[in-house]
Amino acid sequence: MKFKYFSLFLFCFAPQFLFSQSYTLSGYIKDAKSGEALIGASVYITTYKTGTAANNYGFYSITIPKSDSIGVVFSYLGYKAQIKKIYFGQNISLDIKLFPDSIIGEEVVITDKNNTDNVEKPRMGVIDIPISKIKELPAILGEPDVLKVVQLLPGVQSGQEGTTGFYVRGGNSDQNLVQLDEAVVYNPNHLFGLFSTFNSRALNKVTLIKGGFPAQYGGRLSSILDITMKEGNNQQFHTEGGIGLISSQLTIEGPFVKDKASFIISGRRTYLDYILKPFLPKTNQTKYFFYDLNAKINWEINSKNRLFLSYFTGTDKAGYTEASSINYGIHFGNSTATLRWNHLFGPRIFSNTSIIYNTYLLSLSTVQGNYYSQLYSGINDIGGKSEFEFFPNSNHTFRFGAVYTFHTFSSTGKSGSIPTNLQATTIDANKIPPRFSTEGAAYINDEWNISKRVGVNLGVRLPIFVTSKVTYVKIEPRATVKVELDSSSSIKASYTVMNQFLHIVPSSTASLPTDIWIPSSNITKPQLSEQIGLGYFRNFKHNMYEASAEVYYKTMYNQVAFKEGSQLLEQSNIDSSLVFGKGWSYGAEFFLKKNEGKLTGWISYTLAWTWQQFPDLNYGDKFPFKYDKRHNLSVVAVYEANKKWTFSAEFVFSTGGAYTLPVGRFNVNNDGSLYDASYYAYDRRNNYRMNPYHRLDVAAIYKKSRHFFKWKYESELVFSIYNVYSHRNPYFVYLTVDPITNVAKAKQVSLLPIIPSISYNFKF
Amino acid sequence: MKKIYFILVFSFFSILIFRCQKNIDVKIQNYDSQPVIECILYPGTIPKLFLSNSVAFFSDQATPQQLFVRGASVTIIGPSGSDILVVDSSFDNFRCRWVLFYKGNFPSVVGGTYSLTVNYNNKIYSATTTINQPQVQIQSASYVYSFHDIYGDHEGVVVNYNDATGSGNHYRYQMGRIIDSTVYGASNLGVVHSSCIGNGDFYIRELGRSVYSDKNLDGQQLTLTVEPAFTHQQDDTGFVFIQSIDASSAEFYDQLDKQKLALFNPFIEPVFIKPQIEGAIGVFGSAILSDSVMFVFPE
Repeated sequence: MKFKYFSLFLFCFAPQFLFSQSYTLSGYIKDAKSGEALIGASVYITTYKTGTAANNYGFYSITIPKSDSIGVVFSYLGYKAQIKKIYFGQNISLDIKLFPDSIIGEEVVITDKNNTDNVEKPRMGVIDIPISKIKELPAILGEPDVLKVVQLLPGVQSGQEGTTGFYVRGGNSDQNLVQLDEAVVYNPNHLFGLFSTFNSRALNKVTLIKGGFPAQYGGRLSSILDITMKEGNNQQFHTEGGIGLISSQLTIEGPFVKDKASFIISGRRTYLDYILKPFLPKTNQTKYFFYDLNAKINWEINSKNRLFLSYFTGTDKAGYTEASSINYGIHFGNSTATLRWNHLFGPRIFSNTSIIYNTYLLSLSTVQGNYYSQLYSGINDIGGKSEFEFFPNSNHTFRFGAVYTFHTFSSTGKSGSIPTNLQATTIDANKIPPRFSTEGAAYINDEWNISKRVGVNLGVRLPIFVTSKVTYVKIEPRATVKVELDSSSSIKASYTVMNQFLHIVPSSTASLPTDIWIPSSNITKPQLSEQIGLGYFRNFKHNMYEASAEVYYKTMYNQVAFKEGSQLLEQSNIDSSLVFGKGWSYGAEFFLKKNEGKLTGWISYTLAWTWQQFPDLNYGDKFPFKYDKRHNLSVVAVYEANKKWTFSAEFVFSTGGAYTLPVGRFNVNNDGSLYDASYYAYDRRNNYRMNPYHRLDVAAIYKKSRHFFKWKYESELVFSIYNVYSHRNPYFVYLTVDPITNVAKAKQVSLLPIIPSISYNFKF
Repeated sequence: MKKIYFILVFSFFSILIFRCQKNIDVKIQNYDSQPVIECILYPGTIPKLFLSNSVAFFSDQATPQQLFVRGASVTIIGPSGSDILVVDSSFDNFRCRWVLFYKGNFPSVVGGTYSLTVNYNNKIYSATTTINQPQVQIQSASYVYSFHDIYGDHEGVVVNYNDATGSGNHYRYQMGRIIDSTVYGASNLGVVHSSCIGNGDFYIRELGRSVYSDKNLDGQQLTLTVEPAFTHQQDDTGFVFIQSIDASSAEFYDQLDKQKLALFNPFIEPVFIKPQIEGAIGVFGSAILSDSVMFVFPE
């Protein structure tokens, strides 16, 4: 079966294109002011009505038949497009610098050619998140956040109130691969998920892929969130900062050597701990802070070689030790480091080789009443990746490569009643037996324009996972087909198979982060998904508006959950506390986006169903997934009134999440024994729905140029109101039973009412 | 400077607002009450069946007297013939209340197969059990001052016995004691109502909540450590038994145990009680007691 797939693949990609009389136009497309790579910038050959796009490093390459001259349009959203007329009798290397819309340089020509990738590319389920818009949208406590914006996209469900956890097309949170400069970030959250770890000022590009995955992506079932950090301004030094309600941040970037080497360093820290300290009683030892730091250096050694070194670290520490029934202490964080080497083997072959290190730690201790819970989850990954992009002609783009990661997991947990000496033994991380595993994959993918109207994206990925007891070898065919109906609309279909060898064991009860990561084993089989999608894509008014409608059906096998009544004990093997089942999700997603003009934004609506079925849970019957939310609506608008004022608003509505409550009670009267009590009767899991969630946020940004002594700088005052009409959105539900009457009551707790905030940003 | 001051003051008031919470009542779903049947047959003992109704979770009906089912037709057919159970009651000295149940006429016998029929509200609930569990012999019973298990820190009675050959055996602990009004419950059972019983002594039967199986331990020596359900004084005596119980009873009581733990401990996944009798909650099962061993509390 596997050989059949491979033979088919080779047949499809026979080297029919090997080289006739043709030449290659290649180079880098960059921001003229900062030198930042313009990822995804469009290159369109008007002579042949064909084109390509810049890759994650801003590199483009297109091979076309020999011609006396060709017309080329270089464009990128938010930048003035450039038209070039080029004599084309040889291979040409041409680096392009595009100017932002607000600046017009001498050689810039204005054109109405805009990005039509959403219609023309044989890819679906892919959304580029506009970094520039993130800072203009309303944010909790004035902290702009990329993951908050991800939650506003079709097919993406948010988790609990105020959190940045996201759930894509019915998948659990562990099924999202979040990678920063190719390094995996296992927990992209701060402050129990209220903010993400990503400082938006340090980011260049964010892309969410939720279906039709190209073969270069793998390792997760539901989505890829591919985040690329800025490289740093290689033209001049800049300082950018912000003072917010709970945190401040500072970003410095500039050239080491102009046009050759640059750096960026960006840090953020909260000071909630210092603000609250004077107001707290001495018995209350509540403390909280987080910080994160992004740094990147890049060096263009010569025209064929570039080096990048990226580093990220983020840490949260919190403690709540008031003498009451609920105490906790938590420490978690991620660190990543990536060294990358770009090399051009010629104008048609681009390669990137990376060495990647990342580490993740979660240490949590919680007390509720007379019971405690302790968790420790540690992951260390070290690996490498070598990828090649081959542009043989304008109809094919090949990507192939191999990935290797060595994982070390140290996960355990325990809970129980508090000992009489009030000293629960702590988990000694050094005594947790590590679990080693090796994960690798090889892949090849071709983006093939079969004709003007028909294109395909075909690929295959071969992942392998090795532990001391078991080896898994899988095959993942990937295919996306596009048929253009006319110049502004197309239909697309996709089929993908994904495997995932890492698992988060979700707790259905705890409201604190309890994400214990474990690798696949001989007991816990790899997660597997199959997804099919069908979509209609259309642009209007010279691509000012983008619209799409997608339907999908996804099945997920080898899903994990804790056994009923399972209690973590430090000496127990977590795998033995698990049960295994399947999940499936289906739905329709609608997206309308306005890209240009004074008013920009989007409307996103998702209608979805997600089910799970475990033989050992819920009497073996299917039940709705915790984040099964039938309706999700997001409306986002940004209005640039003038050069000084920008207004924005977002409205979200979603069906309430599912949770479990008992429906009945019964007594057991066994002759006065310890069994005597009132017990709960459940009819099914996730039988209740929280109230619908809806919220309106607004923001206003006032921009002004100011002077600080002799230096001119740009300033921004950002006023925002989160949850304008203070809707009491559900956070969680808990039960209380009157000890005298034995009568039960359920209470729903809301977390975030109206939160006005103000922050101040500056840029030198 | 004024701006910074403004930002800080604004921050503080925002944080105060941020801390707000509000409780909201949850909509109640409809619930159809189910009969709760609990009957364990012990050889040599007359059958005793507890029959009550479950109630909607948020119902204000809660006491055993309110929930007891009257007017049901309860029959157990066994080697001694058809035994029609009738309503009877006993006084729970510990809780100072009457407990209602259905009582039979014929003692159960080892090796017998028994069929239960409960006819109530024009619905019939039936189940069968056979008293064929192996009887085990206790080798020793001792005392430990302190041990820690998933229920917490406590003293314990340590019982050693050999598992009977053959897999699928299930056991639980039992102790019989005579106590008086000076005794307290060890957990949350409260105190003896001396106003109800005066200074007299009375017999109690403690059943251990945990159910032990011989999975992967077939034929080996087993050790149980069990927290006494009531307080004691030095030289107080009790009689320790090991019950061999059938698989249905083992599953039912194990689920009860785990659910109770989950209700106390917020870090444990909730447990669904699976039906052992079609259409009803509860169990119809049987148990064989080991010979008793006298146990003297050393402190």
